Amino acid sequence: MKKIISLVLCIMLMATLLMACSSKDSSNEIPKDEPKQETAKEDSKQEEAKSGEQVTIDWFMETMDDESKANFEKYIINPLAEKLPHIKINYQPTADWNQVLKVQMAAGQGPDFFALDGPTVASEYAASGRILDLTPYVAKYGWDKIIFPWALDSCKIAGTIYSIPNSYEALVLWYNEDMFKENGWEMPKTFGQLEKIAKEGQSKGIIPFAFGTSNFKPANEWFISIALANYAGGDAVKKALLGEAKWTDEPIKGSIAILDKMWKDGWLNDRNAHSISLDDSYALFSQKKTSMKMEGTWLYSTFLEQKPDFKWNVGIFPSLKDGTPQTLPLAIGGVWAVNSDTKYPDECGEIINFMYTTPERYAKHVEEAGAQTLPMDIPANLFTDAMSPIQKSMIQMLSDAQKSGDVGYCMWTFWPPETRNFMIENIEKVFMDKMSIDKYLSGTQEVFDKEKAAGKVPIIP
Amino acid sequence: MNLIASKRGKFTRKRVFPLLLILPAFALHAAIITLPSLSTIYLSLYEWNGIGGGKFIGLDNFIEIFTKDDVIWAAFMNNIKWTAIFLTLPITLGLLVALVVSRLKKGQMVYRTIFFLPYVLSAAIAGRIWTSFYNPYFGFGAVFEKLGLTSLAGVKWLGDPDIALYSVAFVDNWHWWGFVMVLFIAALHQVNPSLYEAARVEGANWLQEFVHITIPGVRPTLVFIFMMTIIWSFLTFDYVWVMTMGGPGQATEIISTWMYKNAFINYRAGYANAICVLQSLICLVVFAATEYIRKKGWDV
Repeated sequence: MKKIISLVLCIMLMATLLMACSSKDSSNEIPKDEPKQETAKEDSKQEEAKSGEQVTIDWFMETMDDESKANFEKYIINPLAEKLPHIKINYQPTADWNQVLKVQMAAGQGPDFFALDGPTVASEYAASGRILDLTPYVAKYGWDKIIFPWALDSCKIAGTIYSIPNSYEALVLWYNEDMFKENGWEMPKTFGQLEKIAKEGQSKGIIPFAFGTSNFKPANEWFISIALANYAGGDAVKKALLGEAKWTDEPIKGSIAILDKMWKDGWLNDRNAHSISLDDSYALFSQKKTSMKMEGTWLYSTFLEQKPDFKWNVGIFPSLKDGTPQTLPLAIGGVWAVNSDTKYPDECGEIINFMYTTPERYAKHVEEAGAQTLPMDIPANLFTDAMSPIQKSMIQMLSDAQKSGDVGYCMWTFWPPETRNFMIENIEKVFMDKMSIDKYLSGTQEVFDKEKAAGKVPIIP
Repeated sequence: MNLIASKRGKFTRKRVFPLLLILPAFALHAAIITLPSLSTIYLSLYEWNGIGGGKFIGLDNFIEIFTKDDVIWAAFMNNIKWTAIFLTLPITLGLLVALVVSRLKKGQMVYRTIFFLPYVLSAAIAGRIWTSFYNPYFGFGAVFEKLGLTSLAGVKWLGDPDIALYSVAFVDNWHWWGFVMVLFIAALHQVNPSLYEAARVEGANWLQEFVHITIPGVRPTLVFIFMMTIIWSFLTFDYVWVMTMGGPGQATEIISTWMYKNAFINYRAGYANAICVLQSLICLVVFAATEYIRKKGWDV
């Protein structure tokens, strides 16, 4: 009897499974979701839209601490409510938001409006038809005349704009200004000058660069990007990304070789970077155990919070090769995208437009709360005299790099995902002599070729 | 006639009713556990980025695993090492300490609580605490340096690819062995004390008592822990992810972390599903082997 019942239950189970499978169409594609059954929430949203009353937009984003949340409300939510009273924002800062969002979107659900890590991630959502084509809104609001062309272009996928940059950033050299003065060091501009600072510092027990990766492997891409930009130069990297040059070519190989030398000479946290976390590396810099920290412009707000008890400053990383200018690798800090199933695409467009057309609000957010800069020109008179000179020089640095065109490429914006991960994971093997530089680069080329053939390489401006 | 009556007797309300009662639980389990699990097999046959539509590619993902993916085999070997560590250290330690603690007349609960305490800490917290201990500037390294143990002070617990896996496994062991000990204490309480008394009357020493009474007495628990240790060792993820993310240079990469990276970083969810299928097969083989052993005479 038990066997019969067990058999019946198993048959029921298999039947359910087959029914689930048979609901797929006969093509060899995992079909996109059927139109969803209207939930009570969606019903009410539609009612809102029809009646012309205030509509609620679900806005999904990375988790924030209390201070960031307060700033977000002060500089974005409250002004937005004033300017666009017909839109109510239900913002949802969420831990591990990337993964949560991905699962929600895969299920055909998800918020109306959300932040993504960058154009590369957005391209995966676009390829799956989960995010809206924003090209009509770009034309409607003239965003192409506001947003820096390279930033907007990097969001294009086959000529269509699926996401809009929400900040831009660069890899820069942070340094302990007091320590530099005490030792008679100047901000280095060449590899030779950097080498002098590193060696003199090491002889006094000062580690050149604070760097920790044990809990954040993507940190490796900061040094790879900076080495590529300041040794090979922006053009050589662009050619490799466009497929016009090989990753195994000399300029790229030289970049990895000099990075490897920097590691082996103990410049990157005394070869202990894999033993400590990213937070530990901030602690080492704050405790004056290191003279420099190479990281993104975003570190400004971290220093504002941590308040190191010495003067610190920022500059462009030195050139690593004669003939290659000092180059600032630029990146999109993140993008905004709109759910293709949203009931309110126009309202989402209004939100993005609000962000780009309220420069006074935005300038205050940058000046008072250290927010990341939007990729657009901001009239200097919008910033007050009270603005930190470090922040001013940082914004100027970004602006000058835009104008000069001597810019490099940050991996998290311009690399296809698998190539990026291959380089991040395997550079540690190169450092530890578990992989040769040649094998590292030929492996990079192999993965890149595969992704290029699959159309996964972002637009390279 | 008698045969028919006998068969009808088996379908009595008394027998069918309990089975009907478990049907809702079975249906729920099927809907939220079994079907999603089985969908892994289906999705492993697709090139899928984990977000939208996918493309059927047959067994290509499995072919890639066996012919092109060097990392998965390194990860598999790390899981084997992990399993070997967990089949020996925590079980030996757990059993020996359980033997000592279970014989304590006073303070047994205090020791049990102290040893069990790390188990209630989440991996995220324990992992971060131990990452700090392993920090060469503020952790053990600084302590060893002050003690003049310079060779130990220079050890890169998480930064040396030859020892990083063992450093992480140590932390997981630190959290795990107390739980094993509690299981063994519970098992030891089931062993009939008169067996020990009889053995002592016969002149048996402690080793003979351990081999001939304790081990057979806790054998069901021992087999259960062995089986679960092997399965959990192949499914482990949290401590490695929190402490090293599979580094340095993928020296601590295990199957789960490689699966996660493919699904969420490389956007290759179809491939990650294929890895998941193989991982499940390993666990299934372990389960089948244990069942086989049980049926061959190891009454569990």
